[in-house]
Amino acid sequence: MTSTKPTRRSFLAGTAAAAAALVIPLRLAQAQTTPAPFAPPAHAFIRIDTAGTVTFLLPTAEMGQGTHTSQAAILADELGADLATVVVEMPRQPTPDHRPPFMGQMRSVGSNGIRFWHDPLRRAAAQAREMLTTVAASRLGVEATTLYAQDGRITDPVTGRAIPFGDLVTEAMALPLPEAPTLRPDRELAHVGRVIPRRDTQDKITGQAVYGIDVRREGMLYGAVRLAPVFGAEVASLNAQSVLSMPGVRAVVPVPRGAVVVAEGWWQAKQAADALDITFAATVHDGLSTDIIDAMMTDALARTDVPMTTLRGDAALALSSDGVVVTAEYHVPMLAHVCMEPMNCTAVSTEAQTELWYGTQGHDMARLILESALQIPAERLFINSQPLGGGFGRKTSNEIVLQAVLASRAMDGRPVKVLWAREDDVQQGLYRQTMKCRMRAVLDGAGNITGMHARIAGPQMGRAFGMDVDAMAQRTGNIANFDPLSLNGLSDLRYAIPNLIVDHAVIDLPIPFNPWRGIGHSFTAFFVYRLLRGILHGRMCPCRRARSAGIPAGPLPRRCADGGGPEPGRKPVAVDCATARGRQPRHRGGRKLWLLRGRGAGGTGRRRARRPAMGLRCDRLRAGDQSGASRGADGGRCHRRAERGLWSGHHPARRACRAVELL
Amino acid sequence: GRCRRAQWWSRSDDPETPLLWVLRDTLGLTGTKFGCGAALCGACTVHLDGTPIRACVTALAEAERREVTTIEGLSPDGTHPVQRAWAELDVPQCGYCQSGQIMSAVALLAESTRPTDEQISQAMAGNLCRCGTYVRIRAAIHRAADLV
Repeated sequence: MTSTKPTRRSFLAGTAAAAAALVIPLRLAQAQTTPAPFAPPAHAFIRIDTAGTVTFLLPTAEMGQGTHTSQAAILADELGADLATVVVEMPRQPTPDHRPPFMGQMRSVGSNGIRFWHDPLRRAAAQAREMLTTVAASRLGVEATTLYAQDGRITDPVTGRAIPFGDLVTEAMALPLPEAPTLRPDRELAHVGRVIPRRDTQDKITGQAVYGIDVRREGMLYGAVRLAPVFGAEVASLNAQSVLSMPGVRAVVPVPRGAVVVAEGWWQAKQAADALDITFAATVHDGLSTDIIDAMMTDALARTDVPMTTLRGDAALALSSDGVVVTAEYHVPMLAHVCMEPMNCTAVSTEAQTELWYGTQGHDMARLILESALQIPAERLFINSQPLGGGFGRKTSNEIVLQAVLASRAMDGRPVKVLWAREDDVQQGLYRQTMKCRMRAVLDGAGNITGMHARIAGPQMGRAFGMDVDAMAQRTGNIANFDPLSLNGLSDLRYAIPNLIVDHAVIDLPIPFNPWRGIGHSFTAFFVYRLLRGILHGRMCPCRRARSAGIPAGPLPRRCADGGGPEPGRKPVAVDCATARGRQPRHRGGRKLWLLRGRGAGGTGRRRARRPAMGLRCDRLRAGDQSGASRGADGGRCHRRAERGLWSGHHPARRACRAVELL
Repeated sequence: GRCRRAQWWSRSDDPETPLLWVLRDTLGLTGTKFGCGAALCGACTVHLDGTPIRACVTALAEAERREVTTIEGLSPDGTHPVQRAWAELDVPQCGYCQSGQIMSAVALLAESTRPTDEQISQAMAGNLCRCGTYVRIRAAIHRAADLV
């Protein structure tokens, strides 16, 4: 046991007035970057009531990545709880302790679930365990160090006596929080690093899982949307009478850029939304098309006034023509995220209180939207988090909450479930950005790449999110104009190319974009590896020696070897565009995914085209985390996440990317 | 689960309403999912007299006097062999498409007890999974064939 010196933090009573509970708040390492306007008492992170029920309040949404299973396993192991009886919930109100400092918001993005929360979560679990153990030691009259927490009890291994957590809670609540709890050694962790069944599998194979779209509330009405087909367009005229006599229709509610038709059933609402007499104001962008955008990007590729973002080595050598010059152009289109579960939100909203039921990756985004549009104070907003039927970044944006809240208020606070049809989802996008890229490489006589210039041309999503791209460049060791959401994977290219220039010819488009899984890596990985493969296989370069001379090895092969995964002699294949992160491996908290020779194959192109879904076969896949299986907390999940990443990266790349490779 | 014949006519739904919305909104059987509304994704797959159909484009009238089986009707507790195989291989990720996947797989196994990879590809081609669980779905169908 470590010191239990007094601290100002004291135990908080459980949220329910009835039951006393030991509540461990979460303490993050750094101050918040964004001060919260509303700071309710620190939310519980671990709650143990006198009946012994252990509840984990996880700040990360479950959207299929398995984070609730993995985080619960981490906590249960550290606390010594019985994993099978642990209840997992999500906080209903974002508080400062749910906001990772580097984001300033409660968001479930960027694969930060375990990477960020592992350490703070374990610390809190260790605190709870030490407090319970202190009480048990005093009751049993033994040293705390001789006791062991397991299966929801504190056990004395010598005498076999055991006290359930619930019996210790009341006394533990009077103790100060241990400031420096000791984490359990790996050998005591029962679940972490092992394949454990997911908590949600049974519900998901029996149809019992309640996604946002499945929420049912007493007296609920349904809303379908009719929104402007052009971004930036507003409603010019709206004739609600045109549909009010249709079956089941109860109201037509104006919302930004359109209307929600509220009816007794969603199908009725949808029929009416399609029939609604509504017109939209013309904008200067009405004629914008894919061809025009493509032409803008092509022009931008040739610009001569683009500021340099990244310079490695010597600029003149990067652009040199002394050797074999290889150039290639690549193009990726805008992509809609198309989560299988279409966008939806159920709201009950009055002046007194607003309550939402849905699955979101951006809890604080919902709060900010409602604060800004309707001045709903944070303390009057409650979010009930349902599992997400896919997220992929799209559900970080929350424009639908405003539609649902406006609809509920128009119906005097009755519950209204607003659901977008699939065509709304695709048309209203918030797409992954489109991008063109021109790669130019110079090879010496030995086949080594001595210089490279990577220029991308396209929108700059980070600026739309309020990033100062020049300040960002300074902070990251770049020169200027650095948007990480566009250039990750190029500006930090892991291959040891000695002379490198990266720049971004920005075009401005009146289209809102939204990060997609892997963000910039979802296309920069394609650009990089397509070029390197072309060179290595001799397709793009007459210098066949490039194959044997090899691309200077990046960290991937070395790390693989360190990680103890791939067997010797097997060459790791650089398909990072298809790792679970859609990118080259990253370091944070010592956890990282490696992937060896995952490859999509299966039949002829024609067969694949006819059956895009089942056509991808994973012939051989080995995956793990950086430190082997011992600390990943993801256990067998690694394989599945890699399978999923392989598909996510491979499929759009193969189907959607057009490449022009020039010799 | 299993809804026989014209029990629904007493309700207010228009006979042209797609079966999906009657199941979900009128009857509260939300295990059957809405994905596209155009028979493109398979999330709404249910059985009509044992044949897999897309409930999002099947009018209520077409189901008259026929037996509809949804995921809820497959087994009360997830013990159908296909569900057991799905659990054993931990197939679902986000899980949203899995009701439809399972209903298609059940229909396939009713037709051929030992489906080949080719038959699986054929039968499951209309069921999309945005998480990319296809590898495990295929393995789970083979496993379910062992369990049946």
